[in-house]
Amino acid sequence: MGIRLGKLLFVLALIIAPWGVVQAEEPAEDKNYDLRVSLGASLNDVDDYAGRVAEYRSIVDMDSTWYLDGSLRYTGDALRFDLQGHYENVNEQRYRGDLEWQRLFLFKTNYERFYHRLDHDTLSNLEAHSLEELFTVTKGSLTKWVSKPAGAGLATVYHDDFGRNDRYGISHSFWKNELKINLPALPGVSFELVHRYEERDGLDQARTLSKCAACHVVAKSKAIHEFTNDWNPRLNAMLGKLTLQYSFLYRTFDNSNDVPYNIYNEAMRPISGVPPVTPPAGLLLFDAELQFDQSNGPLPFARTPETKKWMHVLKAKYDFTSTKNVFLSFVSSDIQNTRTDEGQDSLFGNVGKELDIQYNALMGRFFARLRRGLTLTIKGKYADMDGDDVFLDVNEMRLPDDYSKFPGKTYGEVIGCDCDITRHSSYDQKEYTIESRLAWRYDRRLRFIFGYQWNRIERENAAEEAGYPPVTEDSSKHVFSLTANWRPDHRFKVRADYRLRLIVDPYTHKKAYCPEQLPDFDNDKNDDGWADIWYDKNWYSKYVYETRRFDMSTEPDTDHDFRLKADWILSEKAIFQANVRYYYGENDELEDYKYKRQAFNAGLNLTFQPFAHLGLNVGYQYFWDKTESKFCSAFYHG
Amino acid sequence: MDIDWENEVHVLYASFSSQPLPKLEVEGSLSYTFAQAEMDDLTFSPEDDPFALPGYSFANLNGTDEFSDLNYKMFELEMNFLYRFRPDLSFGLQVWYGSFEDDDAYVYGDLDGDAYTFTGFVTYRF
Repeated sequence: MGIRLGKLLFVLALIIAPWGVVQAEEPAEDKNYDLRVSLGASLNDVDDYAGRVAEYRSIVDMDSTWYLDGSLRYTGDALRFDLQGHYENVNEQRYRGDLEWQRLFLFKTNYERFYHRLDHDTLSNLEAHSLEELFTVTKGSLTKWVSKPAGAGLATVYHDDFGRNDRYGISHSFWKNELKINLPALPGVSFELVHRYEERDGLDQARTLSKCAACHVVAKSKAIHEFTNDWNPRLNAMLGKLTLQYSFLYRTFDNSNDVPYNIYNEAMRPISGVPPVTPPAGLLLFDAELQFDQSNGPLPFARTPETKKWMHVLKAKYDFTSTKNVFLSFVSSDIQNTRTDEGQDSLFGNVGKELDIQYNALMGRFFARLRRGLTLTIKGKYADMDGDDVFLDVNEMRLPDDYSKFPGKTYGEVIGCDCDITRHSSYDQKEYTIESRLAWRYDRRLRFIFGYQWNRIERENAAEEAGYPPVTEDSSKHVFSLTANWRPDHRFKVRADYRLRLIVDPYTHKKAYCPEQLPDFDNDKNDDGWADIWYDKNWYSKYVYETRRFDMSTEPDTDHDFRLKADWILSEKAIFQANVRYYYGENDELEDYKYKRQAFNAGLNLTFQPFAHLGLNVGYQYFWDKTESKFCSAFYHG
Repeated sequence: MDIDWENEVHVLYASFSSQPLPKLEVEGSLSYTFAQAEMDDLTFSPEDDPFALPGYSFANLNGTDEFSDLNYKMFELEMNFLYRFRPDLSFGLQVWYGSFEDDDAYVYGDLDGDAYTFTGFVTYRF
C-alpha cells in the first residue's frame, strides 16, 4: 500500500508542478465558454468478498485506475451547449450533453455504465442423504447406484455446480437521447423523438432440476448479452385552451444469451419397501409417467425470450378556465414474444406460435376549484388486458406394443387423463377505478385532503372449471385517505396521513394446501417394494391436488397505514426532522389461519451549522417488519 | 404450521461540509447499518408424516427456517478534499472505505468483505 501511495503522489506531483511555475492567470469571466479538465488516478483494494461491500463499485477489483473528468460549456447568441464526462474504468463511466440552437432545436444525451455484482448460490444446502445403507438398482442390463456420492447413503437431494469457480455480475449501460424541435411556422407545435438504449452484459447463474428417484439440482453459468431499443416519437400541440400529445413507442428486446443445456438424470422409480429390493419387470411404466429424462439427450433450460412492443398514447387536456380543466388519455399496446415458436417441440419451449399480450386503457380526470380554498379532483380509469392462450402438447411416451402391461398405451390413456391442455392466460383481466380527492384549506395554517378510491379487478380465467389452480375471480377495493398539513408558524410544519383499505375478496389461491386423507390411497398397492403410480387412486392431480381444502393469500382484507412527518426550524442554524410510519394489515377471511403483516419505521435528522464554514447532519432510521403466515410443504410429491 | 418472519434494521448516519481555510473545502460522510432477520423455528416430527416412507419425512425439514436468517453489519466512510491553488487550478482527494460483516452466512457463503478507494486528481479551468 505504501509503495502504491508513493507512486500516486509522484504522478500527481508531476502533473501539478508545471502549473506552479506558470504565471497565475485569472480566467476571463466575460468569456462565453468554460472548459474544465480533471486528471488523476485511484488506488483500490478489496479483501474477501466484494459482492456486498462494493456491490456497485467495480474499480475495487483493480489495484489502480485512471480518474478522468471534464466539462465544456458554451453560451453563444444562437448556440448553447453543455458537455460533461467522467471515466474511471470501462464499467465506471458517464457522459451527458445538452445542446440548444435558437430555442428551435434542443437535444439532450445521457450515457451511463456501471457494474452490478451478483451472488453465487453454492447449493451447499441441497445435499441430503437419508438412509445409511447404499442401494443398487438394476434396470434392464444396467446396475447403478441410486445415490451420490457412492457410499453416502440414499440421496433424497444432491447438487452439482458446474460453474463453481465463476464470478457473476452484469454490466449495465443506459443511453438516452431526447430531441425536441419547435416549429416557428406552427407556434405551439413541437416534435420530439426519444431514443433509449439499454444493454446488459455479463455472467449469471442458471439452475435446473432432475427428479425421480432423487432430486438433482444443477447450476451452470450463463453468458448474458441483452439489448433493449426504444424509439419514441411524440407530437405536442398547444392550441389555445386545448393541449394534445400523441406518442408512439416501438421497443425491441433482443439477446444472444447462452442457452444452457442439461442432460437430466435417468428416470429411476422411487423405492418404497425395506431394502434390499429387486425391481420387478415393468419398470418402463415409470419412464412413461415422465415427460423427459436422460434418454431425451441434452435439453435447454433458462432460455431468454425476445420481444417486440408497440404502444400508442393519446393525451388531451382542455382548460375551461385557469381553475377548471379536464384531461383524457388513451393507451393501446401490444407486446409479442417472438421466440415461443422456435425449437423442436414443447420440451424446447415451442408452443407453435408467437404469444401476444394486448393492453388497452382509457383514463379521464376532472379538476375544479369550487371556491377559494376548496378544490375537487375526480378520476376514472378502465383497463383491459388479454394474453394469448397456449396449447400445451405434453410429451408422452407410448409403451411398446408387446409390453407385458398396458401394451401400446400412454400413461394418460390408462388413467383416463387428457394431459394435453389449453392454458388460458392469467393476464386476461378487466380493471375499473374511480377516484375522488377533495382538498380543503381550512385557514392559512391548516389544510386537509380527503380521498376515496374504488377499484375492481375481474379475472377472466380464474375459475376452477378452466382446469388449473383456481384464484379469486373478482376483487374489489375501497380506499379511504385523509391528509392534514399544519403549519402554525414559519418554523414548524407537520404532515399526517392515514389510509384505510377494505378489500372484498382479496387475491387468493383457492384450495392451495392440505388434501383430505385419500380414500384407498396406497403407495405400494401390490407390496412389491416399489411405488405404484399407475394405480388410479394414486393419480396425484386428481386425488391429491384437487382434494386440497384450504385457501392461501398474502393480500390483506383490511389494512391501515399511518404516517407522520415534522420539520422544525430550531434556529437560523439548526433544522430538526422526524418521521414515523406504522402499517397493519390482516386477512381473517382464510379458513385455516390468519395472515398478518405489521411494519414500523421511524427516523430523526438534525442539520446544524455551528459556524459559517461548517455544516453538520446526523440522523438515525429504524425499520421493523413482521409477517405471520402459514408454512406448507408437500410430502412425497416429487 | 403457523410461522412468522421478522426483520429489523438500524441505520446511523452523519455528514459534514466545511471550509476550514479560504482555499480548502472538506466534506465527509459515514453510515452504519445493522440488520437482522429470522423465521420461527420449524419443528416437525415423524408423526406428521401421512404414511411411512423410507427416505421421506417432515422431520427432515427441521432447521430449514435457518435458510431465511440474516445478520450483518455494514460501515461506509467517505471523505472529499478540494484545495484551490488559484481560481483556475485545484487539487482534489477522495477517500472511500467500506466494510461488510456477515454474522449468519448461508447459501451464498460468507459475505464478509472490506474495500477502499483512494483517488487524487488535478483540475484545470481554461
